[in-house]
Parts: sequence; structure tokens; C-alpha cells
Amino acid sequence: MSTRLEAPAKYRSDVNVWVDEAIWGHRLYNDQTPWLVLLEFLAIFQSRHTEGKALKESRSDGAHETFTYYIPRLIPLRQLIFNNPHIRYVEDNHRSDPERWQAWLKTFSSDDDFGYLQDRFGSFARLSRVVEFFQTTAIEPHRQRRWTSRFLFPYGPNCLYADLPANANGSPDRRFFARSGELLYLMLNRSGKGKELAETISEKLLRQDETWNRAICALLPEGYRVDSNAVSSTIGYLPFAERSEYGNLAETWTRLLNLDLPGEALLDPLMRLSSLHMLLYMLKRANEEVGDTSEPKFVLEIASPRRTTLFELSKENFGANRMLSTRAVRAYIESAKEDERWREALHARAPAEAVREYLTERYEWQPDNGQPSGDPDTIFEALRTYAEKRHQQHVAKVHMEWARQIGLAVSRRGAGTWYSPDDSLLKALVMCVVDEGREEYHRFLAKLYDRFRLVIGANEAEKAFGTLPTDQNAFMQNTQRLEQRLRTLGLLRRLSDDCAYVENPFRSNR
Amino acid sequence: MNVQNKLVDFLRHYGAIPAGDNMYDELIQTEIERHGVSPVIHITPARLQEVTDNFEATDPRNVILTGTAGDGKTFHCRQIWTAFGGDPEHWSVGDKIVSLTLPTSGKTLTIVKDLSELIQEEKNKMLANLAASVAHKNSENVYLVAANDGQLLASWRDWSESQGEDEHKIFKVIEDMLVEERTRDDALHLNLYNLSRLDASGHFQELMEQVVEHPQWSQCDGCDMLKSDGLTTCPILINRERLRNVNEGAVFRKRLEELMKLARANRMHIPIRDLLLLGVNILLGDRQSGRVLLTCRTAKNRAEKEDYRLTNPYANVFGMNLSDRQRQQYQVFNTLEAFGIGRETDNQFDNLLIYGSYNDSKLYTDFVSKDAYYGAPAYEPYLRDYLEGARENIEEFMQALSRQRQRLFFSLPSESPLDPWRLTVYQASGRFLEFVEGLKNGGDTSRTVELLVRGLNRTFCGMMIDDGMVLYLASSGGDGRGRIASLLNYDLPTTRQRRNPYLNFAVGGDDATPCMQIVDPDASGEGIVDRLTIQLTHFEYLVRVASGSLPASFSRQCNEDFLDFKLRLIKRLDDLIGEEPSGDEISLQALTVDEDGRAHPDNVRIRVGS
Repeated sequence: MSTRLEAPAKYRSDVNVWVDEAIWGHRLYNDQTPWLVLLEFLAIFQSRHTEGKALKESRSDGAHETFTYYIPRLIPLRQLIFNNPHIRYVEDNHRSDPERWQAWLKTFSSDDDFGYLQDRFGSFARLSRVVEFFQTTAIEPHRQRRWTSRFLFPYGPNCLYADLPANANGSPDRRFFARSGELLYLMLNRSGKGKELAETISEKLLRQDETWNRAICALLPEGYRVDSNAVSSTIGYLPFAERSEYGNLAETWTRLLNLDLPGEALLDPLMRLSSLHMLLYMLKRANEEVGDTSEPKFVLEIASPRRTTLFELSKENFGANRMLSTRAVRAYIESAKEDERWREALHARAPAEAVREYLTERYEWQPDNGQPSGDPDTIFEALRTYAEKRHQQHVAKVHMEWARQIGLAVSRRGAGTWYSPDDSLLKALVMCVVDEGREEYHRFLAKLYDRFRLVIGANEAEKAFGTLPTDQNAFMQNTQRLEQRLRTLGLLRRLSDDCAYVENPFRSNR
Repeated sequence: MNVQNKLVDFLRHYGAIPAGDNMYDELIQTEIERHGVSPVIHITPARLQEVTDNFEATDPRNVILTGTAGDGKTFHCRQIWTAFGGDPEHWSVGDKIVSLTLPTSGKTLTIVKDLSELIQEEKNKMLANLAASVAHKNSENVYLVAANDGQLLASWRDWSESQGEDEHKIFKVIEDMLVEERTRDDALHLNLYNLSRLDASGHFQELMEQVVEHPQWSQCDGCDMLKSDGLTTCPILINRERLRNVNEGAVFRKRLEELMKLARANRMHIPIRDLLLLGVNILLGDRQSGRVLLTCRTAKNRAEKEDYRLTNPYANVFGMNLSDRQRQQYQVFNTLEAFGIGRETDNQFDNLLIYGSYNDSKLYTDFVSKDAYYGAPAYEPYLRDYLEGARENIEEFMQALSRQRQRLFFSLPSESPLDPWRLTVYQASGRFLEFVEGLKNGGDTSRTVELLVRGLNRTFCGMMIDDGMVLYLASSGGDGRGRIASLLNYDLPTTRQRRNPYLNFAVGGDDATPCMQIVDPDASGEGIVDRLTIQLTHFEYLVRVASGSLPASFSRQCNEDFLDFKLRLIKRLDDLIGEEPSGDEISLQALTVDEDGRAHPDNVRIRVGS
């Protein structure tokens, strides 16, 4: 583990206690779903790409990257698509095309004049269909978010814009673009593969000439300046310069980007697996703080009609993983007591005073209800309670929320939450792991463990736990259920009773 | 006098004994001698001639035989051993590896009876020698190795990974050959035969013919269950008669053959050992608990009590005389079970079976009443209880009904007004077999092609398109997996073209499954842009979608397969014939469907701001 990089003083003083951020970075946030992590990342990428610096950010030895990026607001476009409730009404209630245009332009009050659309689209119905198209293909359309936090499917660079508060011209509140995308950006930047990745990302995911990207341009006013009033941000904080997780993440991106598929079809798997890597990073970092040298693991129960022993095991494993971040916070605070300065403070003339000074400095602690008083232990407890409480509000929730959103875990009333993959995640895993067109089934299971710490079969369970945590038969049935699932997804082919291959439909061997 | 036919005693040994017993071959040899069976029941090992010819050549190649337990790997090896002068006694001693000198080439032939029998050390040594020999490095030795495919790949991979780059390359080639079902590869001095890839239907007919026409059935002459006019009450002889390739038996055998062809087209393999087991089970199966197979004595018992419901050959096809656990051990029963025969039905069949006897239906008389053993007598008591009685035994009635469906499936003549395939999960099977035949022999397949294309169009676009002459490839926007895809990317003709890419159907490499291909006539070589094998399940799905229903049971897999294919194909066509975007205009094809199911591509042009 390399040493921690110095965090910018501004970030440290902006928070009331510098603990979560010190352990994992600035910052992880539960309201930012995996899709929004990816979108924020793409927006940063695009900004830096226009400056020729995407994923090639320089960093002087021992220092953190510092740069500012800009994300456009594209307000007229977003009004058209996400704040345009009359369009359907107008189309249904007026017969002739000129009437429709007139009625709509009148009701659609905005700072901008949208008259140019009539010229470009001709018929009103055509505009209506295009708007509908972008609405129905939007990201997470089922979520009830303010219109300024609704996002287009990222067809191309012009579909990327900032998350904004209800007042679209105000400064962002960082509710949904909460900087987790910055962490993803920094991780890829430090992976050692940034340069190559940047080329494929811009070629495959962010093409200017993509049809829908061009259609977006057609919705914007003549001469609209994308960079006017852009939202500017300085990049966040990722504590460690070098970690194996960064390389693994980049490897996943490279594999997916090289598939025989158009960019649009890659975004969903990229979203899922990027967040899976970030969950692994969170667990591994937490383990380090707690002083546990073991590797993280996810025990997956493949859905079964009957309750299985693996369900219990998986649920237990989920509970432990979810609690791990809180244990890390506690350990990180406890580490203050191992410092020489703690002992010095205790022996000072006014120990309470000295301890308070030491702790507020060490953790950038700004107690929200006045200076804590009492003896040193009470003050220490106050800090710990405060840090844990803050942790519970957001960062502690990330594991559960992300795991569910990427299809790694499920929750059921009365049964709790456990790891059980959905079809989209399985497909993403096959697309990523099976790199030569096909892979023998047991080796596929081994690779899922090596790359993502997913435990499905007995061999991997033995590696992860040291000894088999439950009977071998339970794991065997688990692998059989996965085989059946993969087969119904068209991803597995059995050659004979003792030989099956997982097939990646998007990577030809040729 | 009740005669004990020794052939019956012998045949019982082919029945449900534990699979994977590697002494099987030897065991049968002993029993043949004990019961004095002659001629022996056998099939010419499928690859024997080729393998023999190979070892007679001046430069023989190495041979690997793979397959599932019961495919006849050991049988091939033994035949080669004796054909080249090996001592049969020596073979029986039980050595795992034997060798002899080949007369023509003077090389040493080493035969490994079963690779999985070797201990790790022996295996590594063997693989090192074999690898050297297939890479032409060792010209003094050639090998004949039998192995299960999974074990072969696993041990070879493990061994090669501890070796160098070259050894690993050899492994990769062998893995490719096995998965892609190739016998040869130019890079290696090797013939790889996968006995599991052989057509079971032909073998089954060959075996059945030998079983039911065996001369030793004459031992039954003089048995008091056999009348002088040939009529009999013996369930074994009744079942034998039904399996003979004459009259009604021809239909029974034909349907069994077709089921095997279809299983193959769905990538389900039946080992040869299981074929014999199946034949014997149909003939001798006995549902009396704990009995499994009839003997001459128990057969007499059944006949005296007229307990023919216990010896129903049509239920025996599905191993109904075995316990669930026993049955699941055999590939053949799992494979046949998947067709759902007995469970599946439609109104026409159930009306016939339930009300046919009350409305004097001729079909009922012909197909139910006339079967004096497994038809009306085995069924009507339950039917009467159901329709007129207390309905105390609904469960038993359902079972009896299910057995009637099974019986009808195997006995309805081809030209009957009822389609037997309606009694299976794969109702389009008849059409499927016809289609494959047509593709092979250049018959007219246009109606089926049109049906398939219509199914494809509905799957690809998510709209009720009726057109079956043009293939529409459309996108849904977003990640491309949306249900409704209304933006047309390409429309491809379904007849041969000289310049533009088109859709074509052909028989796949296995000679049993159709394959759809997108052909680019402009390309050099084969010009196949992409292809997808249409397994039986896919075929059924497309036919059902084309006729307006969405079968939930297997729609998931098929939908995923076709969606993946579509995404991949659009990408490849974009690379191949995609249009460059023009500067100041966006041109889109919006696809809509009118009330008559006609597709209308509407060109939408949007001017782009400069």
C-alpha cells in the first residue's frame, strides 16, 4: 500500500470531520446511482478530452492531480425533453400543423425562442416523436427526479451535461453528481492504461457523428454556445496513488470496449462492472483500516425455488460486508490512540484541552453543536459517535444501494438482503471475463473469483474461506443453477456430461 | 408349457444397470457366452473403418476418440487391438495401456483404453509423448487414446500450462477442434473423433432391427402363450410385434427415430449404450414396483391377470417403469422427457380422448378402441369414473390419459387428420424435419422461410409485422435491448442477390440443424457476414411468434439469442455497408406497421443547425 496523498486543504475544511473521505476519497455518496457515476465520469472525460488531457492528467511525485473541468448546462435542450409537458397535449388537440406549432410555441414559455425547430423538423409530429424517443430512452426514467436531474442516454458528447438544482441557472448542489464519477476518473487516470483507454472511449462511446448525438444538436438553438455558463469544478480526492484495483478496473474497461458491439450497448455493462470494482475498492480499503489482510468476497446464491444453505451464507456475507465500512471508520478513529501525540495529550497540563486540540486537528473536526467537553475519553467518544453518525447517513449506504442497483444483491421483505446476480449482471460478467470467445465452465467460475471475488462454486469458496463454509453439495447445486441460467441466456453450451463452455456472443475467435 | 427364452434373459443385461460402469463391455462379453447368444447384437463401430485404414497406412496419424460413457470408445479400441493382431486374452488382463507393432509402417501403436484411468504421473508422461507425436516430433510412436472430452481437455490443459508456449498452442488447437467439432487440423498429426456427435437415429434403427428380428425369438415356439396362428397374450411378444418395422410398428419406429433427430438438433446427445437400454426397456419394461424388466415368468403372470397397463411400451419409452432417481441417471430418458409427450396436448386430442367414445367418433374407434391391450381396456375404466362416477381417482385418470396421449403419439399414422407433434412441446417439429430435409435435398422451403422471416421480423422490431420476404433490422435506441425497435437500420432481401447482402438458410455443419446466414456476395471467399444456428427451440419460437403467440416457457433464451445476433449484425453491416453521415442533415428510417401488418419505413429528415 502506497502512502496517502495530501488532500487539498479546501476539501478538508469544507467538511465537519475528515474520516470517510480520508479512507475512501472525496467522495462516495448513496444518492448517486451507478448510472450517474458513469454519466459524471463521461462528462468529466469529455471536458478533459477537448483539452487533450483526458486520462492523461499529470501528477507530480507524491502530489494529487489538480485541474478544473467544465460541464455544460444545455438548459434549452433539457427543457425541451424533460420539462415539456404540453407537447403531447398540443399534438392531440390541434389538427393542423401550423396550429400545433403556434399553440405549442405559445404555451412553452422559456427564455429561449424555439421557433427554429419548425424550420428544422418540418412537421410538429416529427418533433414530438423525436422528443418522445429521447424521453423513453432516458437514463433511469422510472425515478422521480427533478427535471434538472434527468439525463439523456449518452449517445454522444452532446448528450452530457451537469446535474443542476431546481433553479437551473444556480450553482449545483451536488446531489446526484456527488463526485463518485470523479473517483472513477481518477482511478482510471492512475491505472497506467489511461492513454489507450482515452482513445477507445472517445472513438467508441463519444462520437460526434453518432446519429442521435447529431439529432441532439438539431434541438439546440442556432449558434448556441455549449460552453456558456458551464459548471466548473475542481477534481475531487482519491487517497492512494497506486493500487491494484485501478489496473483491474482499467482491464475491465479495455475488455468491454474491445467487444464486437456498438458503443451504446456497452454502457450498461460498463456501468455495472465499474461500480462492482468500486465496491471491491471500498471493501478492500475498509479491510486495510480494520487490519484484516484477507481479500473481499461476495458469496452468490443463484436463485433457487427452495431456500438453500447458500442463501444463509450469502446473507451473512452481505451483512458482514455492509458493516465493514462502519468498522473501518471506527478503526480509523481508534488509530488516534496509537499515536504518540495521544499519550502526550493525556499527560499535558490540561489533558481534555490537549486531546480536543489533537483530535480536531487530526480529523479536521468541527463539532456541529459546540465544543465537546468532559474528560479525554468523553471527547474521544463524542468524535467517534459523530463520525459514525455521519458515516451512516450516506457512505454506509453505498454498499447496499449500489449492490442492488447493479444487480448483485436482492432484498425481499421478510428475507433481508443477500447476493444473487440478475441476468444483466451475468451477461456483463460473461462479456468481460470470457475473452477468447469461450471459456470452460469451471475456469469461468475461477475467473469470476479472481477478477471480481465472486464465490459460486466449491473451489472458489475454499479459496475465499480457507475451508469449505458449508457442504460441497450446496455449492455444486449452486453451480448447476448458474449453468441453467446461463443456458437460458444463450451463453452456455454443454459438450457432454462432463464438459461445458461459456460463450461470449460478442467476441469472435477469429 | 411356459418356455424360458434365453434371449430375453440376455437382453435384460442391456437394461437399466448403473451407467458409467467401465466394465460394461467386458460384462456383456461374458453374458453373451453364458446365454449362447448368436449372432451377437452389435453395430459396426462408426469410425472403425477410418481408424483401421489410418493405422494400415505408411504414415499413420494419431487418433483420439472422445465421447460420453457408453459411446463405444473402449469397443473401438478393442476392435483395433484384435484387428492388428493383439491377443484378446492379453486385452482382458486389464492393463490400462497396451502396445503393438503396426505391420505396414513398423511403428509402435500405443493404445490407452481410458485416459481417466491413469494416475497423474502416468497421465503426464502419456500426454508428453502424445503431444510430441501429434506435433510430428516423434515418428516412431503413434497413439490411439480413448477419453471423455471434459477429462481430456482438463488434463491436457493442466499439463500444457506447466509446459512451454508450443505445448499450450497444441492444447488450444485440440480444444478448438473439439468445440468446433472438427476431425482434423492442418497443424496437427491427429484425427479427433467425437463419438458423441454421431447421429443416434440411424444406430437406433440398426440396433432395434437386430433385437426384434433376432433368430432366437424362435425359442418361444411351443410356449403356451403363443398360439399356433401367431396370436399371443405374452406382453413381451406383443411389444416385440409393435416394434417390428411392419404395419403399425413402422410408425412407432419412425417416431422414435424422429425424436432422436430432433434431440440432436437441440444439442442433446444419446450415447449408444443408452440406445440399447431404451430398446430393451420398451420391450421388457414392467411397472410392477421393484421389477423394472419382465422375465418370461413375470410376463406370463401379467398375461394371466391381463395386467397390460404395467407393460405399456409407449410409457416404457419414457422410463415410466423406473423410479425417478433411476430414470434421471440416463441421458436418454432426460432427453426424451424434454419433449413433454404425455403432458402436452390440445383441444382436438383431449376432445377425442374424453368424449370420443360417447359420440361414436370413428377416430376413437380406430385409434383407441382397436388397441385391445394398451388402448380402451387400459383407459376406459378411469374415463368412466371421471365422467360418470365418483371421480375418486382424478390422479389416476390423469395418468391414464397421459399414457393414451403417449400411445397416440407413437401410433398415429403419418396421414392421419391429427398432427402427432401437437402432443409435444415442439409443435413445429414436423415442419422442422421437413425443412432440414428440404435444405439438404434442394426441396422447396420457401413457405417455411417466409414463416421464419416473419418470426424474425416480429422479434427484431417488436411489432406485429406480417412480411416474410424482407428481413428488417431495427434499433430501439438506448442500449439497444428495448422491446420495441422502430428505427430501421437495414432491410435485407431473403433471396439470393448478386451485389447486396441477403439472408440465406442452409444446413449447419452437423447436417442436422438449419443455420441462418447473412451473405455478402461482394466479399471474397465465403462472404458470410454472420450466422446463427437455428436449434429446434429457436425454430419453434420463431414459428410460434410468426403465428401470433409468444411462448413464455422458452421465449427468454431465444429472445436473448436473437437480440444478441441483431446487435452484432447491425454493427457488422455498419462496418460493411453503413452510410457516411452527411453534413447538414440527419436521415432516419422510422418503421411503422399498418393494420394489415405491412411495414412502412418512413424517411425522416432533420436539418442540423450549422
